[in-house]
Amino acid sequence: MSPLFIFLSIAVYFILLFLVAYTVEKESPWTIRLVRSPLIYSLSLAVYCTSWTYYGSVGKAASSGLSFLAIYLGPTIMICLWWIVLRRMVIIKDKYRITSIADFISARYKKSQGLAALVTLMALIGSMPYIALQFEAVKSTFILLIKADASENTWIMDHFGPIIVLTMTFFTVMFGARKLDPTERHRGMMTAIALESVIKLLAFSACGIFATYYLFHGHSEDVLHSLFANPATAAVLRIGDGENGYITWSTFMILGMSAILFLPRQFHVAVVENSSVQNILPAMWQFPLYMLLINIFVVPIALYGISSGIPIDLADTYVLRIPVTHGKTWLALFVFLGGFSAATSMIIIASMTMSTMLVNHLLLPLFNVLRPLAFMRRYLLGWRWIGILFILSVGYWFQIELGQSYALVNMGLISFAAVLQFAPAAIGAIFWSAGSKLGALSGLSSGFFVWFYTLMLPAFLKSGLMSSSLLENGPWGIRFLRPEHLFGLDALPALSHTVFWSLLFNIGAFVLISLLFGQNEEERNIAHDFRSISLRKKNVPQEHSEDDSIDIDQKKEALLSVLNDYFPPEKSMEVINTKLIEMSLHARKGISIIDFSEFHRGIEIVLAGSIGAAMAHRALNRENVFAREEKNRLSKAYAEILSRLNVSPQELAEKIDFYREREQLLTTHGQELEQRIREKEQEIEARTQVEKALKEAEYQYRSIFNNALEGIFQASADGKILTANPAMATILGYSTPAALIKEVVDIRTHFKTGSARRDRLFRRLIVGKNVENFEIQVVNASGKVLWLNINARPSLDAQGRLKLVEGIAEDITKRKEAEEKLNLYHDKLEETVQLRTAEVLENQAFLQEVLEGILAAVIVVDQDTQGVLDCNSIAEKLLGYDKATLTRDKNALLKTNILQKANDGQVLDRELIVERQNGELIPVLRNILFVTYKGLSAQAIILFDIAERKALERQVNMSQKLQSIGQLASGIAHEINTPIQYIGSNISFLSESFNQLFETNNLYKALMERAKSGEDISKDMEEVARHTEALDLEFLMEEIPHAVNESLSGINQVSSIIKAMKQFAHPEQENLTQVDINKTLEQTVTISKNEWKYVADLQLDLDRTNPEIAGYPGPLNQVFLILVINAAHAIGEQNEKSNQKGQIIIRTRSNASDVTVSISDTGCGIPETIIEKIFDPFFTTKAVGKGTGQGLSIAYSIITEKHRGTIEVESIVGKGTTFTIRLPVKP
Amino acid sequence: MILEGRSIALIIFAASLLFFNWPLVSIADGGLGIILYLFFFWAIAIAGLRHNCRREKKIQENGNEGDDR
Repeated sequence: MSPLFIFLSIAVYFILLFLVAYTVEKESPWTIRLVRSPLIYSLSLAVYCTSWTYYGSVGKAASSGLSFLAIYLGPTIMICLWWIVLRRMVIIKDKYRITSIADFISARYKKSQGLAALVTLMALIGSMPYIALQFEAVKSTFILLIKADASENTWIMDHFGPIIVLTMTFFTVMFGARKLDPTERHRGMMTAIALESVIKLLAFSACGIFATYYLFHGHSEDVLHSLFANPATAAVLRIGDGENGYITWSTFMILGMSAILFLPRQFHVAVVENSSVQNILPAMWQFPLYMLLINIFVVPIALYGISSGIPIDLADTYVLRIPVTHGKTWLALFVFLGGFSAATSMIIIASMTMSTMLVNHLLLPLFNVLRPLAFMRRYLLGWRWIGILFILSVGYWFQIELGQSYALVNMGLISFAAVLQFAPAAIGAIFWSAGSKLGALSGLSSGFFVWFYTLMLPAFLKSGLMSSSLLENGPWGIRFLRPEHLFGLDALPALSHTVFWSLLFNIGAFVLISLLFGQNEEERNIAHDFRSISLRKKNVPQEHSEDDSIDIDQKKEALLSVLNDYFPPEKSMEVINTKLIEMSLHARKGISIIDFSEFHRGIEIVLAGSIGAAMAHRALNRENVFAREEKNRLSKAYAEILSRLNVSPQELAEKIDFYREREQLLTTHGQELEQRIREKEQEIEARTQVEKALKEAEYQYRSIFNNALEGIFQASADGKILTANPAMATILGYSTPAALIKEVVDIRTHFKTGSARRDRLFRRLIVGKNVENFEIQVVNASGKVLWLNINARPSLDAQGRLKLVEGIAEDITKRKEAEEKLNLYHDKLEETVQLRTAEVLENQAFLQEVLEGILAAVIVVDQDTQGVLDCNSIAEKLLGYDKATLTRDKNALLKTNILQKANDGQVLDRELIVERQNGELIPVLRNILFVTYKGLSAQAIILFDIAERKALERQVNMSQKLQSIGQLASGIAHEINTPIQYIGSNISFLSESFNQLFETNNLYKALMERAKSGEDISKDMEEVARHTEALDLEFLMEEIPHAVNESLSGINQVSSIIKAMKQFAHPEQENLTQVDINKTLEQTVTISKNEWKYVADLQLDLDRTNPEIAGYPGPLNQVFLILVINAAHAIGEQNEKSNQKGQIIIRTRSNASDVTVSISDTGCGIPETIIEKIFDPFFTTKAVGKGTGQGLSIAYSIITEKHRGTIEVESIVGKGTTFTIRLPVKP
Repeated sequence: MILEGRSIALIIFAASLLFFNWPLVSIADGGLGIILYLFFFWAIAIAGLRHNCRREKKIQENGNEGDDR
C-alpha cells in the first residue's frame, strides 16, 4: 500500500476527529445532550485500551496464554466498586476543582505541593516510555503496511513521526488546552476519543471475524483437534504453567484494578471529565462490556496467527499482519486505523493531563521559588502548550532511542506497576481519615523507589543501557539486594516481585508513619471532609451575619493581586465578582469574618481549577489575605457557634452531616420537582401555542371556506344539505347558504334526470368510493342547467352505510361552453387539416413523379456535413451509385465531383464533367437550390445529362465552322491565287532566262573546245558575242533575284494562309491549352482578308504584353472570325450607301486577370430594337441564304460558357458597332 | 435502597474476585473450557452490573430516596 495513500487516510481520519470535536464544542442543544450521555462517558473510558491492548493482547496471548485477560478482568472487578469509590472522587473533584491525580492526592494531604510534585514526577517517569510505546506501535504498523511500497515516498516515511507528533500536539492544544477552564472538561475531545474507541473496537472485531472465519474454515472438530495437538496453540488456551502462572494472573489483576482509576489519563477521563455522577452507573456495565467485546477475538487471532505459520516473535503484529498476508488491503487499512485510534487517544489524553500536572505541580512551584521568573505564572496557557509538545517530543525521542528494546515492550506493565503506587494514598484519601501527608509522602516515595529499583532499573539494564552485573550480584556485591530478588525473595516472577515489595513498603510506610506522627488540625479537617464528602451538598444556602467588620474592597484588592499572578486582570475581576454574586455579597461594603472565610475558600477552589489545589492553597496563604487577628476572630466565631449549640465538634459535624444530607435530598427532590414544573410549564406553553395555532388555522380555514370560489358542501345520505358555503348557494341559485339549507330538501333532485352519469355518481358514493373531478349537469333554482365539477368524499357508518358526503363543487358551465366551441373549432380544424394533408400528399406524390420524371438527377445534400440526405432514381443511374451507397458513403459523392466548391463562388449553374462509379466521364449541367429538407439546411443539386446536347453542339459548331470555311473558301482561293499568279509569271521568266543562259553557256563550252583543239575560233567568238548581246545579261542579273524574292514572298503568303486555315479547321480540343490571343487574331485577320479588304481597312492595335490565357484556340478563332466577317459585312452594307471604304479596328488590352479584345467597325450598326436578340440562336438580319443566325449565338456560348468570359456589344446605327470580349486568364 | 444497590455491587465484586482467581480458574484451565468459563462469568458480572444500574436508575426516577445513609 502506498505510504502517501496511508498518510492521506490518516489525514482524513484526523480531519474527521477535528470536525467531531469542533461540532461538539459549538454547544448546540443536541451536542450538549450527546456529551452528557453516559455512552460517551463509557466509550471515553475505553482510552484504557491503547495500542498495547490492540496489538499487545494478541502478542501476550500467543506468548503467555490467557494471562492478558487479567488486565481487563481486574478493571471489571474494580468497576464494581465505582459507585462507592469513583462517585466520591467525582464529588470531591467538583468541590475542590481537582484537575489531576496529583491534585487529588495533594488536596487530601494538606494540599501538599511536595506530594503533588512527587506524584507528577512518578507519573511522568512511568508514562513517558508508555507514550513511546504508542509511537512505536504506530510507526511499526505503518512500516508493515507499506512494506511493498517502501521505496515510494521516502520523505513521508522519514518524517512520519514528527508529522504525527506535531499533528497530535495541535489537536491536543486545540481541544484540550485552548483556554484555561477551571473545570478542566473538554467535551469535543472526549467525543472524539469516544469515536476513536468505537473505531478501534470495530476494526479489531473485523480482523477477529476474518481470522475466525479462516481458522474454522473447514471441519471445526478437526481444527480443534489440531489446535490442541500443537503445543504453541495449546499454550494459548492456558492461564499459565504452574503456580507462577496464577501468581502472574493475580498480579495482572491487581495492576488492572489500580490502573483503571489511577493511571493519570484514566483518572482524567473517569473523574475530571465526569459531567455527572449519574453517568457512573451506566458506565459500570457499559465499559466492562466494551472490554469484553474487544477481548473476544484476541484468542482466535492469536490461534490463527500461530497455526498459519507466522512466528510467535511477530505475534504483536498478528492483528495487522493477517489481513496484509491475505492481501485484504482495505481491511488492513481499517485495522491500521483502529490501532492508530488506540495509540492516538492514549497519547492525546496522556499528554494533556500530564502537561497540566507538569505545569501546575512542577513549573509553577519553580516560578514561585525563583522570583525573577514569577512573571511566567501569567503565561499558564502557553506553558501548557509547551508542556504538551515537550511530553510528546520526549515520548517520540524515547521511541527513537529505545525502539524495540526490552524496556519498551514491557513498559505497559511497568507503567501499571508505577501507577499502583498511587493506590494506597488515593484509596486512603477517601476511606482512611488517619492517613497523613507525611505518611502518604513516605509511602509513595518508598513504593516508587522500590518500583524503580526492582522493575524499572532491571528493564533498562536488560535493554543494554547499563551493565547487567547489578542484576546478578546486587549493589556492591550484596546479593541480598539484587533488584529482582530483593531480600532473597526468589519465588515470584519479576513483576509480581515488584508489586509485592513496592506495595508492602508503600502501604507499610503510609500506615506506620501516619499512625506514628498523626495529623494536625488542618489535616484532620480535610480528612474528615474527604471521608464524608458524598453526604454533603456543594452549595449550601448562605445566611449572612449582621457583622460587617471586614472591608470587602480591601480584601478584593488582596485577592486580585493573587489572581493577577495567574490570570489577566479582567479575568481575575470576573472571578471575584462572580463569587460575590453567587454568595449575595456583591452589594455589601463590609462582611462578617465567617462570610469572608467562605468567600476566601470559594476563590481558592476556583483558582485550584486552573493551577491545582495545592498551588492555589499556597498562593492564597502566601499573600496573607487572612491577617492573624482575623484568623483568631474566625476561630472564636466558630467556638461561639459550638458553645451555643452545646455539642462537641464531632457531634456537630455528624449533625451537620445529617441535616445537610436531608437538605441535599430535599434539594434534589425540590430540583426534580422544579424540573417537572418547568417541563409542565413548557408543556402548557406548547399547548397554548398549539391552541393559538389551531385558532389561527381555524380562522384561516373559515376564511377560505367563506371566500372560496368553489362551492363547499356537506350533505346527509338522504340528500339534505347540512353545511354549505356562500359559493355553493350562489351556484345553485340561492341567495345565502341558509336559504340553500332550508329550501333544498334533497340535493339529488337538482341533478339532471335521466343521466347515466348521475347514476354512476350515486353508485360510487353509496359504496364509499371517493369522487374526483366528476363533471355532471345540474339544474339550479332558476331552472338554468349548469355544469358542475364535483370532488366528494363519502363517509360511511359502522354498518357500511352512507352517512355523509362532503365535497367541493365548481361551476364549469363557461368552461364547458368554451369546450363545446373548441370542439367545433377542433372539428373544423380537423377537416381543414385532412384537406391540407390530402393536398400535401398529392403535392408530394406530384413532386415525386416530377422528380422521377424530369430526367434530371436530384441529390439533396446536407449543407453542414455534405452527406447525402436523399436522391432520385435518375441520380442513381447518372452517377452509377445506388441510393444507400450515396447516403452512407460520403466519399462516393466527393468522387463524383458534383459538390459546390469554394472556387465556384456564387455560380450555381455550371457545366461539369462528372465521374461515374465506373470511371466514365459525362458532361452535366449542375444547378444548385438552397432548400430546407426535414428541418436541415440543404442543397438540392440538380444534374442534367447534357452529353447529347454537347454532341449536338459540336455538330452545330462544326457545321457553322464548315459554313464559315465555305464562305471564306472563294476569298481564300483568291488570296492564294494572286501570289500563285505572280509566282507563276516569275517562274516563267526565270525559265526563259535560264534557257537563254544555258544556250550561252553551251556556246562558251563549244568555243572552249575549239580553242583547245587549235581551231579557228574567231567566228565562234563573234557568234558568242552576238548571242550575249542579245541576251541582255545585265537585265537578267538584276531581274532574276527580284523574281526569286517575289516568288518566295508569295509562297510565304500562301503558306501563312494555309497555316491559318489549318488552325481554323483543326478539330476542337477537349482540354484547355495556353492561347496567345494576339496570334489567334492575326490568323483570323489573315484568313478573312478577302472578306474585308475590298470594303475596309483593318488596323491591328495589339497589346504585346498580353499574357496567354487558358482556353480553346479553335473556338476562339471561330469567335473572332465571326465578328470580323460580320464587321466586314456591316461595312459592306454601309459602303453601298456611302461608297467609302470602312475601317475595322482590332484592339487587345490586358491586366493580370483578364485579356480584353474589342473589334470595332464603322458599319451600319445594329438597331436598338434588336440589339438584345443578336445572341439568340437563329436570329439574323441577313437575307435568306446569307446567314443561319447561329454565328453570334455560338460566339456567346463559346465566350461565356467555355471560357467564363463576357461579350458585350455597343452599336450606333449608321456609325458602327464594337464587340468587347473579356477573357479571364484562368477561367 | 441505595444501600441495597451498593450491596449488590459489593456482592458482584466479591464474587468476581472469587471466580476470577485461583483456585477456581485453575479448575477449567487448559482448553476451551477456561475461555468459556472466563467469558461466561465476565458476561454474568456485566449483566449483574447492568441490572443494578437499571434498578438504581428506576429508584432515582421514582424519587424514592428512603435510604439509610
